[in-house]
Amino acid sequence: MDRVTRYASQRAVVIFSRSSCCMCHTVTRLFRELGVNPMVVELDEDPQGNEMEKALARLLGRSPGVPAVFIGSRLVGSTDKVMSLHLGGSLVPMLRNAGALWV
Amino acid sequence: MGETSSSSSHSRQDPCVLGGYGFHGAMGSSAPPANFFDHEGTTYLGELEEALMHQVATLRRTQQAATTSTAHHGHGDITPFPIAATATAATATARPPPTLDIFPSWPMRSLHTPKEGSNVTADSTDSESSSKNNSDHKASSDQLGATANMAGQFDQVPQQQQQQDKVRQNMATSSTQRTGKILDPKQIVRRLAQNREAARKSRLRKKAYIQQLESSKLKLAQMEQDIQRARSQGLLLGGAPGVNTSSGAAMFDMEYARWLDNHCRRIAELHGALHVHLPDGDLRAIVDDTLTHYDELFRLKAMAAKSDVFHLITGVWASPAERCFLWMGGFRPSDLLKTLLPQLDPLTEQQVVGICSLQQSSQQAEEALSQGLEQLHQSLADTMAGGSLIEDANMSFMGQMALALGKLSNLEGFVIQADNLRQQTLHQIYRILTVRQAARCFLAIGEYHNRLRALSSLWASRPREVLVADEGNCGELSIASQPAQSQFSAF
Repeated sequence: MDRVTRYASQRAVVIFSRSSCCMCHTVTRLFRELGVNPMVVELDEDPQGNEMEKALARLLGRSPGVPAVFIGSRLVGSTDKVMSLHLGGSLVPMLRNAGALWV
Repeated sequence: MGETSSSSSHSRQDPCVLGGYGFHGAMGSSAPPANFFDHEGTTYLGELEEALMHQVATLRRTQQAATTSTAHHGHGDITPFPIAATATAATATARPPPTLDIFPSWPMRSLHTPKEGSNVTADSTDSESSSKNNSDHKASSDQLGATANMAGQFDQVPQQQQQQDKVRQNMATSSTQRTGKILDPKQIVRRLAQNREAARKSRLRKKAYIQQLESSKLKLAQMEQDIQRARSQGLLLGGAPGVNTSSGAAMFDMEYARWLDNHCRRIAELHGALHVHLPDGDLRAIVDDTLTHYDELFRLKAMAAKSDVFHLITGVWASPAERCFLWMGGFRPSDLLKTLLPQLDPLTEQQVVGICSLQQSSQQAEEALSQGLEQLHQSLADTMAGGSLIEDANMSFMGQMALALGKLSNLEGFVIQADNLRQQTLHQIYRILTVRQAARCFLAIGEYHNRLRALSSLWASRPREVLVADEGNCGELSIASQPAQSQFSAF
């Protein structure tokens, strides 16, 4: 869990992912489309990846724990949350506030 | 009929065997029983009883033969089956099945002794008690014991009590007359006439039954045709469950059909409400209801995605024209918004901006989802082609299949996310617009999809003759006589 928080605070936008997960790819792709450069933590390439995923699953309240998006060191949620925020028009302001976007 | 006396115990069983297939033909028919028993029935039944006795005798003979052979294990072709089976087997091989002999094609006049006199008296006898006493008295002899059992067998067939008693008394009386009376020529003639009458009535019944069957067959063929036509028109959404339809898919199809019915009703309600210029408060209630109803659809789809994602993603549940525009198991939100925008005038500038940015956000999300799905496809393809497709690599086959199965399960997630996108789009529209605008918007959405479904029906029922394209009729939709191409030359 500490590792998760440590990673999450390193950049404005942090996405916890697995390289084999296609939904993670979707979320990453969306942020890149918006002009954000997210930090992507591939849990399957991290030695403590499994524990991190368990912690994330607990945070999200569902399994699997990826994709998990942190904006400004705060947990935003998974795919559906990100999409809902975006359609609602509140994702971009959030990104701006976190300093991930300068447009 | 000496044989009948030897094993009266069997007589209890045999009628059951015979009753199964012997009597149904005679008793089970839909003919008016009253006639049957009162006039021709008596003589017909007398002959019937004769034939039955005959068969009982032969059956018992073969049964005994089978029993002895089974006991001795002497015959190679008789294996130790239960006695009844052997009896039937032996009977079957020994002589033609009893049914054929029970209804002889000719009246068994040779065995018959005249019972006309007694029959007539039997007919005219009213008291059931006397007939009962009569049959009871006769039951003492073995010969009549079997007869009584036969008569008892008649009881099991649902006929009127009176007729059963008449039969019984006829049986009883006829058997007493069997011994050596000369046939009265007048009675012979009368009996022949009665037989002819019975045969005629039987033929008429058969003809009526066959006619009924024919008409039912025609009706059935017509109904099947109707179903085929309806299915091709997409009215039966997804068609009736076929061999390959999973239960989840079938259930979704059914629930979707119901949802569609309710949806059309709500659209009509919206239409009516807008027409009569309902106050905003009431209108809002209807619009809220419509939105909630859409939420219900997405809930149904989410459930269906978990049980049969392929059914959703291939769009079998939607009409053909809708399927044409299918994106990840449903409509593409940004396209819908693009279509709706001109319909929603007048809009404030803020609203226009809102809808445009909604459209853009949706487009970005859709793009991201499509890319993710594309990656899934690629990954799946790589797994399927893993190892060598040419060399025999069945060692890793199951492993690859397991991998692929895991990847396929991600498909559900995409359909669910796409549906989430659709749901969010509708909710956002509702937020941006006023009540009246939202009502018109939902009306427009409903009508748009309605038109797509109507287009599917028209397309399915268009004339299929291949004729020369008639350029002079660009865009006119006169279906009856125009060649198919000209209808669509406007596009």
